[in-house]
Amino acid sequence: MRTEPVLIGVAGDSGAGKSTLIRELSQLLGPDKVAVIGLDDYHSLNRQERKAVGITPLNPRANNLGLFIEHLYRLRQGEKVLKPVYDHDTGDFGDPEWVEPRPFIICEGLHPFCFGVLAEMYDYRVYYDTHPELKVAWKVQRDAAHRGYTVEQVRREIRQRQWDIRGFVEPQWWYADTVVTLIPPADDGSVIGVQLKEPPPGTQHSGSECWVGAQTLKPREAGKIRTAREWYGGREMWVTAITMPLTQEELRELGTAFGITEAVLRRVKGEEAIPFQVLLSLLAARLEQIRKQKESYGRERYAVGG
Amino acid sequence: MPSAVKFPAPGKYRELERKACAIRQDVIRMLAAAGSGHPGGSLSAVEILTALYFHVLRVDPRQPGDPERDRFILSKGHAAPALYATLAERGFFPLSWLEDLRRLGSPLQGHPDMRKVPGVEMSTGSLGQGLSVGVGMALAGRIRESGCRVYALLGDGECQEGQVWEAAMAAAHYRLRNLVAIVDRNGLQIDGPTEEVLALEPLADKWKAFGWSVVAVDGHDFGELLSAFESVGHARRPTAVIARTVKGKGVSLMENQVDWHGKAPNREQGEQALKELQERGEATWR
Repeated sequence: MRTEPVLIGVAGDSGAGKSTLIRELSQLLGPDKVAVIGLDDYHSLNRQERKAVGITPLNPRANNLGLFIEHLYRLRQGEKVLKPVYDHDTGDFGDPEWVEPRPFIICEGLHPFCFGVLAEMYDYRVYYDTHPELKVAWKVQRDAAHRGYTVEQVRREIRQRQWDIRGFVEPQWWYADTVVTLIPPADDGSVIGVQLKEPPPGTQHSGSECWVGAQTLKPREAGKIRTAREWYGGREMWVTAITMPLTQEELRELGTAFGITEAVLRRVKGEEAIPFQVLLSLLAARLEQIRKQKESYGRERYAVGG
Repeated sequence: MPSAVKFPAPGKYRELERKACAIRQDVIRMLAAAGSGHPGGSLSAVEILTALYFHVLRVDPRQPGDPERDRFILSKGHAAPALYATLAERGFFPLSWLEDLRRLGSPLQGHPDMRKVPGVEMSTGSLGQGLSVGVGMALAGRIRESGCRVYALLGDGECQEGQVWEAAMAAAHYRLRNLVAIVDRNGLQIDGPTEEVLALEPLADKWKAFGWSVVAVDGHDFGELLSAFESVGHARRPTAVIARTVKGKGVSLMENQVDWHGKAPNREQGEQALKELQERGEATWR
């Protein structure tokens, strides 16, 4: 019995840390079970042509999203697809490559939820964001080290991009099941924190499981997890913030509350789990649950059909 | 350049498979009636031709001279029976013409003639020349600012000809993204396996080194073939589709047999082959 793959969308600005998240997440889920599709490959114009037309890749019109939808449908049907490949070094397209359907298919890029039809296709949607301070700090680190830019130059470049980001990328958070934000370390702690914003129960597919689950846990009493209800972009969102590392014991408690499997918990090494690791295990648990639901759905349907 | 080829509706593959089966039967009937011809290479290219003429090519049998049409060049001209059968099934000329293959005075000769057969874009048969013509057509199409595409089907043994690589070099130089070379990689030529006569491998790397975009597919799988044609024109380079095929595909008597490169089936063998193809065709109807 064939089970449809779980389609996961990860949206976010370039440089927000999407690829790091996905690399670590696929380690948790099992690298042979995950296929990753980058939306950058679906640019419709190469660098020269974009320059001639006067359009940035942040604009959805410079992307062949029709082909992307077509490919998503085919992967969901269990067919393999021939994906174009965009080479960032040359700014042109390379040879296309085959993508085989696997249990988890993660689509990451600037516009995975660009419009409703596309957003509806996924089983789980993550909007991945990074606090502006962190983004500047990381970009300075990277560009100053490899390309010799100054801090001021980097800030100016970020300012120039911001209108396209605000216009085309940021609005997609509306479709997300979880809005993940990395927040800079608090004064007392030294680790980067994680903030999860979820729509209230009943308004979207997944509801606010983290928020509800976190209400009764020990880490919350110890002040390591904070919960709140906030207005965000004209809508109420339930916020869970993990700002400090959790001990193994606390992580296990979290694990039982959210159904994080033993296999995932075992991979968290060391005595303490930093907030990013907690985020990864929460996401992995959620995706495995969706996978299980799909499998049982397939069996039931098979049984009814005789 | 936007994609010219759209993905087919769900039932389309079945339809294409049925067409391919009908074309195979036409080929066997033609060759058995003529008593000579090339069944091996014709049968291996049937799916490629079917995918092109029934889904990919923008051609209209009522206007075979439309300047905006897509061009198809059968560079391996000895596979003419498959081309004739496909053109007839597509409606370029009546199916009854097929009975007169290789007869005196018939338009359908052993190798295709562009002046006599509607829908044939280039007279071919002398191997190695088709891709050069394709380069010229693609270049002309670009100069005329036409959106037309040019597809050339080459045999794998044909790739031993020097002229093929001269054309490959020119196509990459002019960045002809509207040109597609399809290599029917069945691994056999008239004198034996290609790798023993004059080795071609690594064939994909050769095309890549000449500056082409290369896609390797199963040449009998419509899903893969159509995906490959859909990817044409993304990069500013010509595309080479290397289609792995089986010589004499569909008739167990002829599959992977060098002897059947240029030998027509006799009456008995023809009937046996037709029976096998009909059984397979009925299976696709179910």
